[in-house]
Amino acid sequence: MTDSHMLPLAGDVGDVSYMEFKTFGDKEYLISSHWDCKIRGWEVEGGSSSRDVTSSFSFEAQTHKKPILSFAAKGDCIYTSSCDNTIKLWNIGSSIEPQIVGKHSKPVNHIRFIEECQCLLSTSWDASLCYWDVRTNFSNENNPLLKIKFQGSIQAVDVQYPLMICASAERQLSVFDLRKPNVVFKKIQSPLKHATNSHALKLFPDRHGFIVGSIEGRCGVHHILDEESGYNFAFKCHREQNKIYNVHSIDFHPQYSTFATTGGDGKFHFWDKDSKQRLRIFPKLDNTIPIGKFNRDGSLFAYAVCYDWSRGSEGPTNFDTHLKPSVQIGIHKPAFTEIKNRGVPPYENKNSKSRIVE
Amino acid sequence: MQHQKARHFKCIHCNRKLGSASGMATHVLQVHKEVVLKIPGAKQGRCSIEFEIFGMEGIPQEYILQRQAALELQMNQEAQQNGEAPTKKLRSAEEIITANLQNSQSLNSASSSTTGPIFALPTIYNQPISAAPMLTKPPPPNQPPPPITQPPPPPPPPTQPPPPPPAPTTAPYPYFMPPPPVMGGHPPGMLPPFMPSPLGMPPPPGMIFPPQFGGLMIPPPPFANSSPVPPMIQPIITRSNSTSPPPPVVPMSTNVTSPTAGVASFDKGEPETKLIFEDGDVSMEEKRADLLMYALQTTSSEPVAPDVPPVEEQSVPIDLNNEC
Repeated sequence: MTDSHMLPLAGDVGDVSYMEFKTFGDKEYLISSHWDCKIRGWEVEGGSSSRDVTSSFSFEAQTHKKPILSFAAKGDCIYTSSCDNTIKLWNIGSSIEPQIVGKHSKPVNHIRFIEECQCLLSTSWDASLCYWDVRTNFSNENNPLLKIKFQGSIQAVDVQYPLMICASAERQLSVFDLRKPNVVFKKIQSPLKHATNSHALKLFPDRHGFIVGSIEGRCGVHHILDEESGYNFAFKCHREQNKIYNVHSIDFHPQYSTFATTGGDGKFHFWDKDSKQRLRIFPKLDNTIPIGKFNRDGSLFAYAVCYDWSRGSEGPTNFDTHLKPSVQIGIHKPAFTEIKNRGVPPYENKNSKSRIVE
Repeated sequence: MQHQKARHFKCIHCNRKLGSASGMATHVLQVHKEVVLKIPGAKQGRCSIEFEIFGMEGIPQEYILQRQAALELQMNQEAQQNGEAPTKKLRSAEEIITANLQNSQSLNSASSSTTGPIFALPTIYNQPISAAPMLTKPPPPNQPPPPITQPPPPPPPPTQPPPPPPAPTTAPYPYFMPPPPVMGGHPPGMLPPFMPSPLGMPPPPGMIFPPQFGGLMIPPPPFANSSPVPPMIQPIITRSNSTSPPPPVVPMSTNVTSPTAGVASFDKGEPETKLIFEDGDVSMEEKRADLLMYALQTTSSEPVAPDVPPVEEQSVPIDLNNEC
């Protein structure tokens, strides 16, 4: 594949459910959770330097007996959440049985660690969002700090302190102020007409709004404040002539507030919402791309190429996969020109021609 | 069609020019979440969104007749001012209609729109005018006496819903079912702006038009054919009373999408387009998890789905109750 570095995966690695970059000390790691119940980490080098990217296997562990859907890394601990409805804590490298930290009544599909609150946020298909106190060593698995019930299962969540947004069934988006976590700050109906995937919801780094993607090959850029709602727009993406693919994940570059989308068409793109341009298209890969993530300084973009289950057990169509490994993880080093933003957010530039017509 | 698009079909929020009045209304509703009730920039009494009018096509019959009557009146007034006798007496709308109809009987469907008005107008003026207007004109067979009671001049005020004042039309096609312009990529099943009442339906009270014209009653052809110009349809006059306006055409603008989640085979207007993953209610991960959970419940000796992860050394089947 073009110029990406592919991680050296063993042949039997399961599909990736979630990935994140994490920095421990001066080393950068890429951690991934898989549908084969394992969590794996690789040490990655070459991000901020001009050298090529290299990676080496770091750790692998099976912390659950059912697929791991998500994780949150804090220090040298990883909290993993799984289809066995639990959240477990594992110290990297330790061989002690991971301890259960929290429980839901259905698979836990997202967990996020909130540094400012020192607590864990978890969402589940049982339509509840829980906050867990992880400072104590006691088992709080039945006592979340706070539990918020939604109308339907929670599909996606994103946190940019103090803002948190989550997408629940029937295309409802709920925005929370984490300083008052028990009160919904704002309820928004998704600007898109179709459902949102697990990682296709992302808040702007400057927290003025969010981008939401749908299974219908479309992303909506939505601003939270009413007075900025004139800048909202939507665009189509990840479509191939007459086939409309999912938008799987959206991730912002930490510095430039440009963003990347990955889709069920096996491609990922870089976009600039302020100049409303697509900055770079990448060629179609061997399989769908369920997750793509930037690292902490935006010098690396990791993406997982594996089956997203969009065609059920039929397997991936539209891809020629029988000759290639079914799971790959690639790391791309974005060039400056393909990720630097070309526009300025309209709400920062008061002289810009706004779309609000008086 | 620049004026119409720029003045009447333009969204007031984002300045986007849509293709029709109802298209603009739909766009404003979906994108800006506002309800548009009137066409912006329209004259009083002509601001309804329900009619699909493009240029000179799609104008409802009554407006055409109103215009005809107004022009006739104006011409007569001018003639009087000029000292000439009125060239013709003012006629009721009914007379105009029957005159036009008898005219158009001889017209073929091949008449184009441009020849329509030129052909129709002179013959209107050549028709014999009955001495006692509107009450004793020779009716076609099976026609009940028209229930008009208002005096011929001036044109009756529009108190009754249907009777438009008689007017020679300057609109091109009184009897054409004007084709709605075919928007790119739209399904060919768009209905015409107004449909005549089904055969045999008695005229609503106040309707001055005869309900049937015998063999002339031709229901409009369904717009399932792909030809953009439908054949001329004659008895437009018997459209249902204007209190229930004709079903409006809803063109599909590019922003209109099916609002229901979980709808299979989402049709965007091109028959081939399809969503790769259609289910909006259950996510892909949930489907996969369901399958895996089910698969893991079976004993390890059974063949498992290809995506089932290799369970660690134990072959003990997972007991779900303990995990929850």
